[in-house]
Amino acid sequence: MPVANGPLTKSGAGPSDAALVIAARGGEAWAQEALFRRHARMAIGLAHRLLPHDAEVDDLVQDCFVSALRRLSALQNPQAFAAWLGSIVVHAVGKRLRRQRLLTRLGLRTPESIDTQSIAAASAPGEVVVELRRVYGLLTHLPAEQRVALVLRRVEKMEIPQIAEHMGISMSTVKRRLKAAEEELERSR
Amino acid sequence: LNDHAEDKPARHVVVDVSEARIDRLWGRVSARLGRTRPVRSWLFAGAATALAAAAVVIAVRSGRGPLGGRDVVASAWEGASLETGADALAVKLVDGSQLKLDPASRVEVGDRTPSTVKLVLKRGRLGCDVTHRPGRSFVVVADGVEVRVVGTRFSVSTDHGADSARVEVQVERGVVEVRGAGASAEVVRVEAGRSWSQVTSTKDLAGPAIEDPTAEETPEMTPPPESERRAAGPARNGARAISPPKPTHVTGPRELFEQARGQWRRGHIQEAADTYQALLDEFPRDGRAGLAAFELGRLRMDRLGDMRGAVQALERAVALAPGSEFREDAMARLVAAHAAAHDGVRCARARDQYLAKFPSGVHRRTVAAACR
Repeated sequence: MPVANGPLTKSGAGPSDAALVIAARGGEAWAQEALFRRHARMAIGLAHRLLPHDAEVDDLVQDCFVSALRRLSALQNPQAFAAWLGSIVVHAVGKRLRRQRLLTRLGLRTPESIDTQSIAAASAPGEVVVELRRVYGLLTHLPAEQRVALVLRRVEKMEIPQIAEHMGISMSTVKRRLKAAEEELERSR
Repeated sequence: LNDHAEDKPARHVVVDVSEARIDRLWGRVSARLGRTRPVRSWLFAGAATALAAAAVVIAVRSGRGPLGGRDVVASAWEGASLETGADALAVKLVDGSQLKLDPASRVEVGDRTPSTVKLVLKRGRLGCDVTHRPGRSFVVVADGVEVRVVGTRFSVSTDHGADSARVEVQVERGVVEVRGAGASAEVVRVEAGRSWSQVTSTKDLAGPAIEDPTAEETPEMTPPPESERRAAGPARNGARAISPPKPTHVTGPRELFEQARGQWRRGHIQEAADTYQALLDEFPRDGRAGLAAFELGRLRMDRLGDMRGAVQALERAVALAPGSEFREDAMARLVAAHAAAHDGVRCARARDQYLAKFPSGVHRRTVAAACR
């Protein structure tokens, strides 16, 4: 039963995420593929924006999908697959950032550099370009937790509860991390 | 993730989400997921067995058979596999042993001899309640970890997360012998009420080992509740007294790795290089080998001025830990080492390999300018 018409989501057409999750839990390969194709762009985009210029983003996204599709039975609300996958990506990115930082500290990795000039698309409005350059210019100086929180807030435009859910931490912790990151951002002006 | 928020800066970040990239990614994801079967399509391949929902009897030949009169598992088991989707599955053998496979798990029948039954857990969790039979060994293997049953109830689980692969053994009754993954692993006896676990994937052994060489790779032993210790009683069938739990890997590659790092910190560079080399010679398949090779390359290149030696070590690092965090650095250093050794041909080849693998890598400018 292949999904011939490609991903179908918020228009209401096509199987819901819940239906796909239930089918995928049953081992239906077509449902796994439909979930992947429906949410791959979101996962790649999120990972890329959290880890710009990281050559191994594809490996990370791949790991996240494999983990998610193998652990579908742990997903309590099948309709919430997208948010759940997003939280898996955020968690994996945080882990990777912490590992990179340690490797850098041990001298096993050269410090990360982000080319802020190439972050924004050519068609982006001027104020968005300025905002993105400011945020990404600061990222390499922030601890992993603050960095992830800042990108989710400033770039993804998530609300505090959504950030807390994705990072698996309390809202007050999110606020603390954002406050610290925002202060750094302010100082960098 | 607010995909439709018009003012979201994320919409203006350049990201390649082409069909080609997604197709490529799906190919890799689906390959790792392996063959996926519908809920009720688990099977013992080639075995004409009838499975009921809760417990089933698998055809096991008992009594005197063509293989010297020993009790053997039917040959139809060879190469067979058992896979679950959303539901768990219980299997009962005619000798009274019971297997329980958790949802989303897969187990295969490995080598079979008249005196051995070997099950290979590919993913998920397998619970076993094994009846001891003299002359027969019952072995479960998961990610290189080998659990040899003495007559007991236990479970083996594998957890292949996004960044980790871990095998855990929990013993409810009796005792099992566990041989950890890796060339240097010792055999540990795990008694009732205890658990044992080990991070097994090369990726993780190469990664977390840097963060804390002793934490991730030390098998964890949890003490049993006192009540369970009393209930467990002595080991049966002449097994020697249960020894106190001890971790595996107490000697060998970890010690060498730590020794080398200590020598380096103290400024004994040549000794550190020799120790890393010893680790590579003696434990080439250990999870630290890739990192040891990389460190050896750095020492030879930066401190000992031995470029040809550095090339050897860095090439080995790339080969031993292809998915590691330091691969990019190793490949970039390889270019520099070839250049320093005035080997233009190999330098250009290494440069092209780096740029192909890491087109937006952090060393791309330096590497691209090399060997010119």
